[in-house]
Amino acid sequence: MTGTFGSLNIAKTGLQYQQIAIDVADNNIANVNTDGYVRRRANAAEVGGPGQPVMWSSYNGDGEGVAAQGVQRLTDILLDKRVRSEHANLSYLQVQQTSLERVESAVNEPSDDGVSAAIANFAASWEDLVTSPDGTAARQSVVADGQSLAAAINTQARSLDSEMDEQRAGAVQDVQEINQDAQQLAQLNHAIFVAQANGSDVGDLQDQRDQVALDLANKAGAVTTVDQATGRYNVTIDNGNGSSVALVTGDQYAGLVVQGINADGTSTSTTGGIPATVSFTVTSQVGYDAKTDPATASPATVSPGGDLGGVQALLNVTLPNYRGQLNALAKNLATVVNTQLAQGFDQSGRAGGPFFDFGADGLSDDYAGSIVVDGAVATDPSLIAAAATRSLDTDGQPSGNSDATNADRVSQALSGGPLVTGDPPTPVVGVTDASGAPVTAIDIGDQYQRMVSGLGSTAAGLNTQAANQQLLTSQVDDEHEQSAGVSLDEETINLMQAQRGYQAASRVLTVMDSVLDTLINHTGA
Amino acid sequence: MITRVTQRMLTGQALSSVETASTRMANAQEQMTTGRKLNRPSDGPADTTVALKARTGVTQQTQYQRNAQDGLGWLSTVDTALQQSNSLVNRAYVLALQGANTASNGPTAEDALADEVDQLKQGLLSLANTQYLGRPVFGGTTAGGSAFTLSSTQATDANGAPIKDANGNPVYQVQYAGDSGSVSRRVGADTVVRVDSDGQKAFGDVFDQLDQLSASLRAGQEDGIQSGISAMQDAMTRLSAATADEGARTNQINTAVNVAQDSTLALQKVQSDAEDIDVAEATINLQTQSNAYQAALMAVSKTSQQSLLDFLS
Repeated sequence: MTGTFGSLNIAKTGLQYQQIAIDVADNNIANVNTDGYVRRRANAAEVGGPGQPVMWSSYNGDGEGVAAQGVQRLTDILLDKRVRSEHANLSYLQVQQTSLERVESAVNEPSDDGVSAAIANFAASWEDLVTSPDGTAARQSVVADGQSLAAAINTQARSLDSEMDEQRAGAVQDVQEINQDAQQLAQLNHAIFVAQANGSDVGDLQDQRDQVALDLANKAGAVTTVDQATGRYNVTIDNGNGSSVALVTGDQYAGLVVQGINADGTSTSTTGGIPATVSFTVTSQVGYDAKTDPATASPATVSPGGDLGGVQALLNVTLPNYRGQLNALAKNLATVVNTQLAQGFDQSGRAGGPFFDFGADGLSDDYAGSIVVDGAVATDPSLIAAAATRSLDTDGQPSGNSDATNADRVSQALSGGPLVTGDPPTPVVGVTDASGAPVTAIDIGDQYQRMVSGLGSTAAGLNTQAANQQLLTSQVDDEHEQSAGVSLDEETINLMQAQRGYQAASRVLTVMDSVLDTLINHTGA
Repeated sequence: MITRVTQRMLTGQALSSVETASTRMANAQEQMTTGRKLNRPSDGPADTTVALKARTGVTQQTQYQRNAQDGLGWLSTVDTALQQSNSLVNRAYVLALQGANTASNGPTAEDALADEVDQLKQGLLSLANTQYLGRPVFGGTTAGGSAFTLSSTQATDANGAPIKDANGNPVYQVQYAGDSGSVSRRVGADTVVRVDSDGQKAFGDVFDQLDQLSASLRAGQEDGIQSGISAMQDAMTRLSAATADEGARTNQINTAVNVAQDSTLALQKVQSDAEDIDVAEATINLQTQSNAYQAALMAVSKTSQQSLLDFLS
């Protein structure tokens, strides 16, 4: 049994706790739309007698009121981890999907003005040349259609190049942000550790830290684990070999560095229009001690996921592959046309020269980016070797005639006809395609169609995967929101409960006041 | 299982369902406005290949038809020239038959026949040099403008004596100025048709024979006239054979044109099937997506307005 004033004390604890409950509900309501906010709950605990029985002493009270045990953040570590990993997967797919969408619209197939149509028109203009090999009009239109085709290939190569430029700039930006995030996370780890030690509320810092961890997952596919002993977050990036490299350990952080890209977003080197491979390393940790931790002394290669992983896949695989195929197409086109023309004779009876060159000097190894119609042929279309035979003039010197068999052979060769020479035709020997394999014929149109179809398949595959991942991610987000999100209805009810509790505790005070009044003023009078 | 629903969940789900519905509606709208279901390769990678092949095929078949039109131009020019040549040679044959009656014809009449034969030769030479778009149709692939020209060699009669015309001037031999090449047009993937005519084969030695016939008529040589008659018959046979050959090739091209036209239509249908929308289906699809979008919007307006606070005083 407690003293009379003890009851007043119990009422006071009630008032205090209900006040805290109102504040927590209030804070939840205020942050209902705050990103990354995790709802809080004021946990109450009954205050009872002493936990340890003491000799010659007994507790004969009936409870000492209530105390707020602390404010709990209603979060789930495992679910948080799941959210981060699904978001990382989604970013990985979406960054590739967006990029391929742009490439697809640059490729612009099937259409009347894509490369495919340009190839068909070019082949048709050779047939037109067959019908009038003696005029200049048909020859000029072969040159014009050749220029259109070369320009269409150049344009496609350039849009791939600028797409790669953009992705490289994105990678540089991502790396910068990841390094800032890593630093921030390490600082938050420290701040939370210190604040917890002196008993401050760290809910808002924890919210911030979760946001940074999610951002790191989005950008680099970084995996965050919680150190059970200290509650600090450790962040690692997968190295592609089943193990991982630390980016943040407690209050220490490392730096992510990109290889293959200069600081201004340009590639460190370009061979044949294809930029250098991009890779990422984690350098030794800031503030690390070489004596105690020599393992992290040398930069460790990592294969990030998320945004950066998507960019890496684009820059190392998808885009260079297509660019390489385009190079092979340009090379094969020049091989087919130039080889077949070398078997013929021009309007003056001279052996045919090349029709396509690579660059003004003809030496460029960036085939798709530099393919042009040979300057001499463009200025003087009579140099086009439309004839398969030549005549001799009265002095026995070679002279041109109106034969156009070779022009027909060029047209046929473009759609896979054999490269032939002479009359009757015999196969041209010693021709190799872009990959260096010996060939007797190359179907340029078919080669291009397969390229476009391949690009379409890749893009369609990514679209499907991204759509599925989007569903999965929003489902996980929903699960997370179920536990961590603020429900206004729930908070309203909490508020009402606390309000009523407060009212009742106040009522207890009134009752006690009345009891004391009776005791003091009306007893023994 | 959903155990707890928050306001952000509701608005988030509402937003994503409205976005999904509007994306689908935008796709349906793109298909309707472009009239195409294949707007980029990823819309149908396999269909893209089909469409690209069909488009290339249409370009090829159209080109075959263009080639065929050009070829028909050549062949009808050849045809007209051969038929007119045939009638000229036939006239020379009739003249030779008339001239064979040397007994009843006087020298004046024989001279008149010879004069007409000379003119026929000139006419035939001009027909043999018939051009199509500036190129001699009987001259193979020669870069020059004539298939037959007058040489500097004097024409001789059967006995090797030089021939002189009515005015006593020397007559020069007509010689072939073309080459052995041929002009062909591709009218189908594997069909290449020759569209000129071999001048040497069609005309042969008809010009020399006409010179000799003319000389024989002027000289009143019965033997020469008789051999002229049979030479004219031979020439007509050659010209008829060339005409028949040319006719067969015209038929071949006409068939190829029909094939190319049919193929073009078939390929256009293939292309359309791969690329274009079924308008009825797309209209219904657009309507369905539009309804779904409206439903999503309505759901948002219903749920987002409700709150417990409405019911508390």
